[in-house]
Amino acid sequence: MAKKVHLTKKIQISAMHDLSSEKFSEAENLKVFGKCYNTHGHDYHIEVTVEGAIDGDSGLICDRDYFDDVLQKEIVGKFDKTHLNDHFPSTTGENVVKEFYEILKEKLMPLKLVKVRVQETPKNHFTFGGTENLFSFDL
Amino acid sequence: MIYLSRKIVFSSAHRYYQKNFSEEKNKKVFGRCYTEFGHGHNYVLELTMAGEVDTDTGMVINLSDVDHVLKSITDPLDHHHLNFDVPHFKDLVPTTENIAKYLFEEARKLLPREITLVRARLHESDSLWADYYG
Repeated sequence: MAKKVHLTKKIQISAMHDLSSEKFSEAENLKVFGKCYNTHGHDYHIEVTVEGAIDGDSGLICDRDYFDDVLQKEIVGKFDKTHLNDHFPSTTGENVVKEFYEILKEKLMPLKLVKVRVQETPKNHFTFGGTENLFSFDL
Repeated sequence: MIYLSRKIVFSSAHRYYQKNFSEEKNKKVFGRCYTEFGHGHNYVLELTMAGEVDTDTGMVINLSDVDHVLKSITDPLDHHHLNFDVPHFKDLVPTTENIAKYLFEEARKLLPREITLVRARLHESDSLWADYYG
């Protein structure tokens, strides 16, 4: 049986966002989201992990150019230097990582997406692996 | 159970080339990784191990023993062209995935039996790495 191999590629986008909810008044938004209510920006470092078995001839688990090209087209090309609130209803780190995961799960096919990790700032990051439970040392 | 990880850096040349493929197929399969003579990387190998803490030493494994394993398995690769100098890669393409697998298996042979080797993570660069789980 082929052993499990993960391949991770890291990309970066610079984008702005703000956190607010239509359900809240301005005062409530300010109370809940604090300074994140103001429009601001981040350099998002995004790690995308796919899984596969090593092909006996090529030694690869996937087509590297295809992997790169999908990430460039679907994430960098669409979200770099944009306002994330133009794309998603909520741009918390939790929701951004889920949105990227859902996009990449479909666009990377036939590659099997394992997880996406979004580092919003050097002090925080978010990881989503769909319905899979992730090993704690993988987060 | 405690997980612990330790790294080592080594520098090697490799070429994405399968001699059973035609030149055209090599270019197609390896894409932008294909180069005529190969290229090099500062590889970073990180081994993650798991085990119980010894009540006398307070350690799962002595890190100097881990360093010895890391050095023993990467010395034959360090400052070599993997395709030409390392017998394991004579007929096997030294992709990041295959090197990670090879180093996992070599480390497994040298680590004490009571230590679980969980993962070999091999960084080819800051933005690309392979994880091999035995």
